[in-house]
Amino acid sequence: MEGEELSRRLVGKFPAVVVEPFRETAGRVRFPPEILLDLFREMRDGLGFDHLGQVGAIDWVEEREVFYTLWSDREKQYVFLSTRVPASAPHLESLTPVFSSANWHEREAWELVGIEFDHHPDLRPLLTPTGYEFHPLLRSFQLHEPEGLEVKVRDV
Amino acid sequence: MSEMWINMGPQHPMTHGLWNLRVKIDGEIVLDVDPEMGYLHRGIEKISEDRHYNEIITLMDRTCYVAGIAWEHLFILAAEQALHVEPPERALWIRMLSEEFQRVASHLMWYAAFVQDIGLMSPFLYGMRDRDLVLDLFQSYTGGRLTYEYMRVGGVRNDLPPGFAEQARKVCDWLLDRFVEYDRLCSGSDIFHRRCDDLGVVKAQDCIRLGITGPMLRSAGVPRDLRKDRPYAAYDRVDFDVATAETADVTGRYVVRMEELRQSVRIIRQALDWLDKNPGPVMADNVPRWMGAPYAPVGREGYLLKREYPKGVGFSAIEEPHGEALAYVVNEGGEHPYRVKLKSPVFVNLSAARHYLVGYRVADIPPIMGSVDICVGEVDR
Amino acid sequence: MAESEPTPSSNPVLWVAKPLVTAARQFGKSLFRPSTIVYPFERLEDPKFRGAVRVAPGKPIGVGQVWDNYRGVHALNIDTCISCNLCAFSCPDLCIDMVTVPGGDPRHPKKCPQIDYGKCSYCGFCSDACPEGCLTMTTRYELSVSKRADMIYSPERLREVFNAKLPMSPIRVERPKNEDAILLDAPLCIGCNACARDCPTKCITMVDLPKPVPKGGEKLPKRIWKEPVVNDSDCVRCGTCISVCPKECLFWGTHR
Repeated sequence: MEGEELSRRLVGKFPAVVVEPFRETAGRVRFPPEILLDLFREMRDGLGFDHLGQVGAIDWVEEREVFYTLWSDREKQYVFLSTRVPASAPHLESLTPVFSSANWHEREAWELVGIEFDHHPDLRPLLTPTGYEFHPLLRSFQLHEPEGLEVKVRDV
Repeated sequence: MSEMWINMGPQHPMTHGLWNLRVKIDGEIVLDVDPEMGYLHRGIEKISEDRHYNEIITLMDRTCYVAGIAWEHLFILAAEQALHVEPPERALWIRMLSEEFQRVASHLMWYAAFVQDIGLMSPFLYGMRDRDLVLDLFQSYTGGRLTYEYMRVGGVRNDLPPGFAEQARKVCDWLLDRFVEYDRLCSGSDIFHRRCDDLGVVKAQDCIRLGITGPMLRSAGVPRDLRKDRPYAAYDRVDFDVATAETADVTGRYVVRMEELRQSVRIIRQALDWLDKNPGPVMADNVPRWMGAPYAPVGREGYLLKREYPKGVGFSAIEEPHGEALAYVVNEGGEHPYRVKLKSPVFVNLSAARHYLVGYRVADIPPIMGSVDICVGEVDR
Repeated sequence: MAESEPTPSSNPVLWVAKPLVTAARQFGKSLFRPSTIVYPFERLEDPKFRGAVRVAPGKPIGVGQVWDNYRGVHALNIDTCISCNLCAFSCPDLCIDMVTVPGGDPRHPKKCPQIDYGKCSYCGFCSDACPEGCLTMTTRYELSVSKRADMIYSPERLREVFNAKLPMSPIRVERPKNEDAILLDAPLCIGCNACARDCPTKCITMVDLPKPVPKGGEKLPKRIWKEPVVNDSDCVRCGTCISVCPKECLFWGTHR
């Protein structure tokens, strides 16, 4: 499916989406967060992109971007979708009603970038330990150790 | 008998790594499972934000410790898109050759571990022995046996040494001979079939619904392989078949992987022929020096004050030995990538554990999980 | 695929017998062809295994061979080291410290790499970056020590490895051809000579500038009327000059 066709079929139903060409995929679809579930239902049932590749998130300091990758066996192509939520209220509807495989991806995006997925069935930390209260992939999370911290190594 | 939760792991022979499978059982029957990950979380995506592009290669090797060069390949493909670098053609073929060797090594490692899960000790040694030959080949041209640090943005570190093709062809012949013996030991045996048939079944539509990729999906009869469907490197110029099976069970995954081993050898032979005939550079010209080690001293402030760098994003997908791996690299014009997102196929295959474990017996868990081919390094990253 | 087709048989004896036959054949083959070596007594780098191929016709599996470009412990040739810092810069694990070794002049001591093998990941970036080829990786792989402090190899210890004349990688890595060069932002320069003084390869020369004649009322900048010129063919791109420049007037750039 070429980018124009994807654009034609999506924009008719969802006027708010923007389709751009992107890196040997069918295109990059930017959409407002409100239409998430409807858009993905249309992608899955109408356009045949029925395989969820990944869900990830990027911290752009003022807002946070959540991106999705779908694959269609019929078209043999990926499509890249992304949306942005404000960092002050990083809430997004969970994709699990449409793609159940989004479960772990969203748990990971929640704990690493701090996106709150509403109506997620099981939003527990996946990779970080219990009680870990940071979101490590935020830009504000400093990788370097604080000044004055000294790691002591004892020789035996 | 009452229901109870038990922990299989983090230290358990079934896990092949460091993770914990919580299992709810009633007697011998599995009622529910809950994988607990994170024991091997090293924050590779975060560390990548603080490293130069070439330095991230060292992390990619450690992302999956049995398929290091496949992950290098994945990252390099995305990074080259983000940095607008075109590698020379010979580098593409060497990368493809490396990835196929890595697939052979990874599948042999899987074979060794899987047969041990179902109680066979000798094939474990055979698999490890033959994998060692492939690692020797890797050592001869990358310098490493497990962590290769071979690919670079814009090409590969060095060309193949003289005499490599001859050695590699001998290994290929030897391996094809071995695969026959493997099959005699496992799938030629009725005990194997009685143990593994109809175990851990995930049908094709469930695989797609759950996002499962790789040999698990192909064992359900879906001929999906990114090397065929979305060719990268030079896969569109070699001849190979996509291995599939119909049974969607543990035996099916075994059959698919054994066939993939043969197809990988087929690709390796074609790549060796091409590389013999087409010498050339393996590193692109015009690779900017700021891309990082080992070509540039970078890292002190002040170097970069007076320069502007091109921005870009890169998205790559490869057929890793375990399934489809995706990488997304955002280059915001600094020395370091702004964000590196890696999607591991095992991550998804493992998240569907409830669908292929529930209803079977506790003693079936090791063969089923063994057939999934877990690599915890790339799940936790 | 024919081999992997299930072969149903009702005779339980065959279930056991068939794999046993294969295993016995494997066992017989490996009797005359050991796949392992007796490690502490035999080593892969022993001369009798060197040059031998692991897979030879007629005798498919031999024992093994450590190829020369294995990335093991480093060897350092202190005499040719020019203290350019490139190895320390290129180390992703920050395990290389430049420490002073005897032999330099007192004002500008000679500094050579000291490697902490507790951190080293054996990526080989340092030896790839070394412009003089004096820091290389050898085939030595035995590192066990009883104290953590012993994991730190001083330049002298690295020289001992060099003196052991271990096999070293024959592969030299091609550097990218169109490299950036050191450029000068001339109006900022004060001609202080710091870059030329600290350049490890002495490829920077200070050339005299004509002192302009002040036109009416204009005030000349306070500076030494000299300016560095970099000899690109000798420059190893270590960036020392950039880091010592007090006015930040040197920078990476591309010649137009």
